Amino acid sequence: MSKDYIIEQLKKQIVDAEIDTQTERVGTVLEVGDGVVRMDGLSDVMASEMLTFSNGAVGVALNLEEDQVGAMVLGDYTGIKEGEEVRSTGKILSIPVTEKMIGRVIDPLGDAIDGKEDIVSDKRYPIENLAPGVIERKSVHEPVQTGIKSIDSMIPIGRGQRELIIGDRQVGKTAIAIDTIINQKGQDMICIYVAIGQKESKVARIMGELEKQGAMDHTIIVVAGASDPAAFSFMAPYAGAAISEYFMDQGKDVLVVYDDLSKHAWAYRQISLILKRPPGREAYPGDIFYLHSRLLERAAKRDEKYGGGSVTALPIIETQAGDVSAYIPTNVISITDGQIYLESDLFNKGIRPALNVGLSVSRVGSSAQTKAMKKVSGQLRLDLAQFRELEAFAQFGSDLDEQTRAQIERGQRTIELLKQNQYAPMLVEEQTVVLYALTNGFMDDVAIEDISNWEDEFRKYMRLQQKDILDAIVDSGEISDETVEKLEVAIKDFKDTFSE
Amino acid sequence: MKVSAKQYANTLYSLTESKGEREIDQVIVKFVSYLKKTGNLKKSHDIVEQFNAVYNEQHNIIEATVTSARTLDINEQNKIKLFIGNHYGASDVIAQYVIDRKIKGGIIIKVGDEVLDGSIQQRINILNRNLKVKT
Repeated sequence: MSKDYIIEQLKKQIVDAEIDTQTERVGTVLEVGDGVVRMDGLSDVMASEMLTFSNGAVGVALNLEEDQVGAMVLGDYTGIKEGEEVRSTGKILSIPVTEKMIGRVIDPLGDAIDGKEDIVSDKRYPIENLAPGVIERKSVHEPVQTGIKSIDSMIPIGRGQRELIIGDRQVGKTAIAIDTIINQKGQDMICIYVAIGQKESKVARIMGELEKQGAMDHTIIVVAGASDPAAFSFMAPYAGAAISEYFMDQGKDVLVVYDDLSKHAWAYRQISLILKRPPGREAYPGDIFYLHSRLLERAAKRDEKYGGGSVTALPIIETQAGDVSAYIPTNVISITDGQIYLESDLFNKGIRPALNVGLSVSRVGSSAQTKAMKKVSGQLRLDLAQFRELEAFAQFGSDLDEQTRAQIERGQRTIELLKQNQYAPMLVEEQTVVLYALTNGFMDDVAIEDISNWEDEFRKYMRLQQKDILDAIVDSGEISDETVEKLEVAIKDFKDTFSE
Repeated sequence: MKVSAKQYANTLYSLTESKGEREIDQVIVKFVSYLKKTGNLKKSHDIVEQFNAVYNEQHNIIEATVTSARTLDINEQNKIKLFIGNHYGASDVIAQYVIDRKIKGGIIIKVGDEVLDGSIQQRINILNRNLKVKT
């Protein structure tokens, strides 16, 4: 290749580059403080339009007043000086979206922060978008398998549902979300984990674990760290929603975890107070409810006529000292289609996941449950409810009549069986047969401390020697009478070998 | 009720509109003593600024800032003024000329919050951005 050719090409590129001079609207910075800038000028600016500062930072116009514009800065605001020029872009805030994001860690502006190659895309999706309307939607009918026995059986989640995970700090909220992401391996589901105001060390640990379990191949992590500006934390869940909509528009199923929305509300409160918007209850601004409702409405199951696809949302809320009646928790509880309530008392007793079955509900998920699971979960719920009533009498032991004692014994075994280790998701057909054995009394004569061992051995036995029963449950989605017969014989056979 | 500087400026304009010099002098004295009475003298700087804007708007005058890398001769200045006048439909243009070597060449015309950036530096910036996107 000759030198002249290269020079010729360069000249051509420069000449061909379309540079037309256009009038732009500019503003002047009046005031900078804690990630928020006040400007005058910018007379034609739109709400949530992107602005560019001379240090390259991007701003978003939030407050449009008579003679001033208030904006938050996405990125470093320390270089912005009073009196400097701000240019409007005429574009609403959006982020690039592409398939290449899968397996990557990005910030809320769509830039890679995992040190690998840059993410480039021509396609951009707006951060704020209207949720699908009534016509486009379809009721939830396909399950999301979390791989956690207690959730899949009693609080089932469907594709397109919004299920809140709520509880105090350190009770395993994130663990449930991560287990669910790990369990989506090979289930044709794209997962997005949005870390809002989380410690970078926690995000690094989660990323490491997902990589170890081979779950990064279908996962995107969006990070707004604890040291990033509040504007990033505010924007992160909307960025996650924009990416999930991109995949839903292609007819794919997406699971998005917002960890956690309490910190999101804090970030928005900070920005609002600096923008001098009037504070309301607990100093949150008046539109804090709308902040979360417009985000979670974007989770939907779309009708096949409109391309299918779904976005399932798992928002997380951290309560203070178990207070679910605080402002933000009650708001989000009322927006979502049910909640998974985790309790620190249960956690400390060693019941993990520390699920409070009485207070946890799923309002729409039961229509997404397989028939087989439905068959066993009804009895399971009943056993647990009866046990809770009788639990207080358990200490009287021998004074109780036969039936009460049997119910207590069954309850204790149920609680023991529902315990599950982290990063150990279980296939739904295995869950079904294990719970079938429990609810039909096959485990009543197993000692409580042997339950988990019994369960492990039984699953191994089913996998290795009775594969056809598991396959039949998977294929038909239910337990037919024929399968029941075979299953009961199999359980009896197993019990003979186990007791030896 | 709080009265803004803009409202004061509008009032001052309508009070002084099509009046002789002597009358204006009287109006101004009264206006200033009213400002003093209501404790609004601190706003006088803003009021002057706003009055300027109101006056220009009513008389169809445009104030423009023209930035260039070198001093412009009278011919060029008149051409620019004519262009601005035509572009905004103004009857008179008050132009302020600024020299800034950093823009390398071309001119930047700024009217209010509208900027027409025809500088070489801006073209380099755009070219830089376009070439970055292509690679």
